[in-house]
Amino acid sequence: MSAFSTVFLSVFVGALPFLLIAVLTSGFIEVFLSRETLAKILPKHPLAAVVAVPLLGFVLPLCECGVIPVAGRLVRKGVPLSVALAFMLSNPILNPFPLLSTRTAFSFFPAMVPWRMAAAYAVAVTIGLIVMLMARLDPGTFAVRQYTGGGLWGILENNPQASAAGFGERLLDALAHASLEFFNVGRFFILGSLAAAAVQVFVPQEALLQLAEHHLAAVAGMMGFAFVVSICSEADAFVAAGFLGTFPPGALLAFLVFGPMVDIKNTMMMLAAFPKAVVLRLVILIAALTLLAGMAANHWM
Amino acid sequence: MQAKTITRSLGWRTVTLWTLALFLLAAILGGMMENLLHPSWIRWQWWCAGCMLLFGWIQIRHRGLRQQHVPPFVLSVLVLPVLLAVVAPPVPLGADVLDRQDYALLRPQQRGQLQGREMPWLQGNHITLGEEHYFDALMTMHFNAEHFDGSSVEMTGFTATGRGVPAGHSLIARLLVTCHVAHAQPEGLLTADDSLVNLPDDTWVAVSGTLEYRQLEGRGELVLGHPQYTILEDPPSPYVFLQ
Repeated sequence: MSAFSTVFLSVFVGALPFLLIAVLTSGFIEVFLSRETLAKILPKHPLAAVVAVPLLGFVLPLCECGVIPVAGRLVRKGVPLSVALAFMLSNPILNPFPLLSTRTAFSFFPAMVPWRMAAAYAVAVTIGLIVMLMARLDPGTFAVRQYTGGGLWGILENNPQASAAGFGERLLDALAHASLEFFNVGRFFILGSLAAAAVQVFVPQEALLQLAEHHLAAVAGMMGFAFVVSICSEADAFVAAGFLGTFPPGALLAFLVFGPMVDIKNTMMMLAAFPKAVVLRLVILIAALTLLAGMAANHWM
Repeated sequence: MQAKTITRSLGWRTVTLWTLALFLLAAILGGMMENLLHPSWIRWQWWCAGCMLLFGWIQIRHRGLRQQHVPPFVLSVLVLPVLLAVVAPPVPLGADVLDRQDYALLRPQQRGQLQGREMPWLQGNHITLGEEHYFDALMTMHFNAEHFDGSSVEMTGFTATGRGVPAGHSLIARLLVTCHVAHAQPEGLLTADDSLVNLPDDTWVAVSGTLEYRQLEGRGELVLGHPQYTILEDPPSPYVFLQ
């Protein structure tokens, strides 16, 4: 019980600063960035926006938990889902912290750094493009409807804007939005952290890793491993580095790309920000593309 | 008036419990940080505690989002970490990590290049496995095992004989922490010395000896031979933090 408590609390307090930065960012976007301003900042063409937005991580680095409320907020502010998803999927990997940790952990295998960055970029942009295309061909596939129900989303959606108020009042409004978003996402974050800690403490690693004996199974096995252990993108490279030589490089790449995009913790948080159908399709797409990237790396890395 | 509205909708008990919980979270977690996090992250937790208290105050005062309240269910989930911290306070991890992680899977099997690599932990033929260069030194040794055959080494660690440690061996280990201890991974040197192998898990030793390159379970390994050790009564933290 103490080990479980230690693991859970360390996941919880370790990610808390990132979550708080994210909800504050989200609150400030809501109050201080109008739809018109946001439209001016982003490239006019959605294709250009999808291609460019993954580079934002070097200016606004967020973790895989923190990026979700910000992406959800961007969608509610009128940013196309394709752009928000490209941002959400790439940001936890394409930012300075995972870059440095991967370089340190893979100092004996430096090729992993550009491969990880390139694969994350390719997966995020491809998904952005697919969502953009689907929005034209079949708008129902990735529909994010305006929320009309009650509960916390209802409060967030239906709260009147204070655009005419003074700076002090708007600042308080931004903090109020941030606090409400914190309480909304926080419960999913806590439940996700509990599940991740339980898996780490009570499920032995071999249960999954023994599945991974062949190249394709190794890639899929490491993706499953990344999903259940829910390691944050700053630390995962050190775990992956230990597997060098035991697993093919493509499997390690899949672990490093899939984990920050989809794991137990952030899937629960995605369910708080997006409809279930969108999350399900997203997870399937990410898994398929990461599998492809892993197999490509096995061949060429 | 606003305070009256929220206390009426949530009940005095919930509001009181919630406020207390936020204060407790700040205080309890603040005191437990060294068992949970990389030291450089701890200062951020005070910032977090301050933010959470601010959020709590905003919700109770109901600024911005008037006539609404946070449902009690949400509050009760948020209190979970505090309750868990009180019921089962965090403890330093140790050899029990190898009940869950397999050491055989954490040792790289690949070979690397030493050329041009800085090795401040190596003086002539002697390796000092200190906290500052712990990970870098061990990775370099794992990747170039044959090269360090015959080198002398000194280190401090705890004994562990869990998953992935070959039979008849013990691991003299520390736990590498990058950000928080949930992802702590055991790193160290194997030894086959009977007196060390027979020590109970989590016994802290300061040990010195000679590295021997051996084939173990089909893989080349550095093993600590001819060890001389002293048992430490007052062990340091099990964690080695990545610089």
